[in-house]
Amino acid sequence: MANPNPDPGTLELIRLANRITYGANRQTLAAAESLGYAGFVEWQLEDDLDDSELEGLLQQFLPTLTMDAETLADYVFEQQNFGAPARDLIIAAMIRRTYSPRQLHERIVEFWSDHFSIPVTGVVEGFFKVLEDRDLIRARAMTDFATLLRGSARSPAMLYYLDNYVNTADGPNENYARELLELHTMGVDGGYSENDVKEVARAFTGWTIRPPAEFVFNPLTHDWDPKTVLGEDIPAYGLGEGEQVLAVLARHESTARHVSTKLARRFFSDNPGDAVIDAVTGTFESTDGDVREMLRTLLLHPEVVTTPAIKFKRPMEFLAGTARALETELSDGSLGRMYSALATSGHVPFSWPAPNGYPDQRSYWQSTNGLLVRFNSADAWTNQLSGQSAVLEQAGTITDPIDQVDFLAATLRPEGMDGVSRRLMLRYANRLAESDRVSGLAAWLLAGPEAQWR
Amino acid sequence: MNRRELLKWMAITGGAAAAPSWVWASGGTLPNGRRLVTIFLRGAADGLTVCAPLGSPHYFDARPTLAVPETDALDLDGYFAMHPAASGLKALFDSGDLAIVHASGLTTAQRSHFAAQSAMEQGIDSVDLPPGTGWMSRYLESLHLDSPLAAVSLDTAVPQAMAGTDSVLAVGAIDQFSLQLDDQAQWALARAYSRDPLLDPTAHAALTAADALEPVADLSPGENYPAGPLGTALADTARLIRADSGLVAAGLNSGGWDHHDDQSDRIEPLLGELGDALTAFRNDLGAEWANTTVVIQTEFGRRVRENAALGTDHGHGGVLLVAGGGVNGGRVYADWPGLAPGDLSAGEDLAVTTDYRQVLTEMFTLQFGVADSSGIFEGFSPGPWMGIFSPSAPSAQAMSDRSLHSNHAAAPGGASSQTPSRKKVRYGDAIEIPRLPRGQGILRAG
Repeated sequence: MANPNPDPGTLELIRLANRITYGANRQTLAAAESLGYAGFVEWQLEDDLDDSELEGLLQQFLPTLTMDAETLADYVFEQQNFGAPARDLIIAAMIRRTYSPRQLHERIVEFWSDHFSIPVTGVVEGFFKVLEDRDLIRARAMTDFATLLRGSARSPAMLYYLDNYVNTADGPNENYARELLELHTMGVDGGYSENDVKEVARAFTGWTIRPPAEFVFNPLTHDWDPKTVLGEDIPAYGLGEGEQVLAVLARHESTARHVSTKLARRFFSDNPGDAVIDAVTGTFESTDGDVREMLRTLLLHPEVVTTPAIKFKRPMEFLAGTARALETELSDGSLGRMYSALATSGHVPFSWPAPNGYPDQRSYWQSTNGLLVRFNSADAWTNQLSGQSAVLEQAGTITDPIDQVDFLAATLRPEGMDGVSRRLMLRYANRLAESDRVSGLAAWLLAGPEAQWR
Repeated sequence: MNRRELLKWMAITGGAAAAPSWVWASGGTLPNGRRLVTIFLRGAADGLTVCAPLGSPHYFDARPTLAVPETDALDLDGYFAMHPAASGLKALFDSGDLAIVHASGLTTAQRSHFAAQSAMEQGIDSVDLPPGTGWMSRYLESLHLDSPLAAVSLDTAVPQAMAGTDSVLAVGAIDQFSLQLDDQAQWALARAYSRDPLLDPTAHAALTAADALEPVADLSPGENYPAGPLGTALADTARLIRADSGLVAAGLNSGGWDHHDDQSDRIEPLLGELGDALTAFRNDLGAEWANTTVVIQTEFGRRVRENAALGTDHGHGGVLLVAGGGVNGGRVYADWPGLAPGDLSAGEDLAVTTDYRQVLTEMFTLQFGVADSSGIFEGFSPGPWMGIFSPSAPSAQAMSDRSLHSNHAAAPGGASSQTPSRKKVRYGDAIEIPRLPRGQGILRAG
């Protein structure tokens, strides 16, 4: 019987590809097999992977992505293109995640976009966020935690979203301080007090925005009394106080564990074991939160290498994965499909309404609505969009039904299938009219339970 | 033909034997005769604006710019008044359909949105060990329901309050919940999912619910709902009820209540939307309003003193609203702690004098026939009833003979919310996708 199931080493490669890309396909797996497990990780960690063709296309169609702050301010507010930044960001995210050769980079960009979550549902947020996404999150995604944290604290997008731009000595605003401690660094049980929230807020008084989109420290609105944060005395010396707070938080053990746990949860499992969390936390502490080093530790950890796919895909991962598995050409039609499925699933990029970012747990995403969208999407991508899929085109040229089944199974379910599944697939193939066979079987493979896990 | 006519017809023709089990989940067998609708105001609504204590001089001291002005305020009882934007809520209050419980919430202050929401949805105090399931789920589980439309989240996911039961249905918007697969495809998919025990219940519910929702989707939405997610969700809830679908509990969300700045401008449209949506919902339900209880919660109240950005930071005590038939509305219920500096929680927040579970326990006991609510709120000992709810006749009957009503069905739910106000861009379903070059083979996913 054809369609032999892959050996354990190949299965590890397939799982790795599904964890660090938005979905394995023939090209991804060919690269993984030629490079080997560690080699594939290193390749994806490289800084100089060429995505210029893709970025060139984006610049052509999404004008706000490359504008400087002055030009963008004029374009958005004077020329009244209010929705343009949000639109461009969302479309760019869908395209990059599906088509970029820098797959792991796009994944870690999404991770930080959730960690420092800022929804673009308001015009001003959209204006600031498109700049932050380019100049901080995308540019620094693979650096180190302290760099990202400092950048976020000074980012007009964050200063605006969490109200620190109006945090003053006369009227302290705790919004940023609280989420900085709770979400960005130590975690809700990380060991800070309500008083720490207030003291941190005071330390960041005067951190504000100079239009159109520049960080500025205003000594006139800064609180010039000394502060105490997490037991550490901070004398009044202006801008440096906030910097000191960020430095303390960036190297705090609660932060190391909080960020490492989230990283392991994103790439590996909803409930990563202590061994994995300890290892990544150790790397965070010994490398000052070097993102590449943490990813190496995580992805090469024996428990991660050998554990089966136990992470339920989020809608974005499922949809990008469907497009990638089918090798569907980028078109306005496929983008429109993806957007409406994301909207119905509640997973449009940059649109989670709270500062904690999209959930990263199966308990949230596994819902009837969520599965219904996936069923319908698999149907749409294999029917209406079938002409744009290299895989379906090729399957259509195969005349022997058994060969067709084998080709689709091997291509869309490279991890293989057991005898029961194969018999079910053959029974379904027999029930389908010849003209519906390729799309029907492909939809079945893509909508099936195996395709929901990574 | 409506559901009742269908049942009658089947009884005559003997067709009932072939009917799927959910057909029996009709309004006539609603457990205890009541259904529950919850709306969670995410982001912590400012209780001192929703229901402002104008009788307290400290209120005006603490809120020099944000205080609801006496001249415009909608007086409730001579002490409390509503924000003028809440005229819809005020009309419901005046007609006796709405009650307000003030200075309520989590007894132990929790000023993190996410931790406070999580505790409240699990039905615990913020210092308790999390049970992992939601309070609505524990009620639903006690009913042993089996209709696919008994428990529904009118959102893209299931709220935590409904987490833990297998089949809470998240439908998003009903008009979008339709399955494109033909029977063959459904058969093959169902067979495949039957081999994945973790996903199978959800897949099964999704395939079943799409059919069950068809008669609901055939009903047109009621009138005068405000545009926006909350109006749509309440209109859909009403359609489920009008279609006699066996709805026992519905979970809804309203987002965008976190107002650290420009609170006046931002809370006004939300209050208007909430009042208009609830009014439309009551009118839409007609006689079924009497069998419906609406609980409107938020995770905590906001700081008494306004901040310099004309907003408010995180506080403690807040408001809880209940509406529906059998609610002793038109009253503000509060063991009012006062706003004098010495009366405040942690020196700056409205204190909590009513645990939110006190209200929910009274509701379950008097309206839903739950004689012992310790299975829902374990470890919580309620005080004397506050008189918010009238005992409902069906619930009394249910207490005496629950077995009559036990053959019913439920479904699971998820949470989410929509946020910011200020200037908002609405994309709807149609984001404008740029025309892209075709046929140049420019990009294949690879």
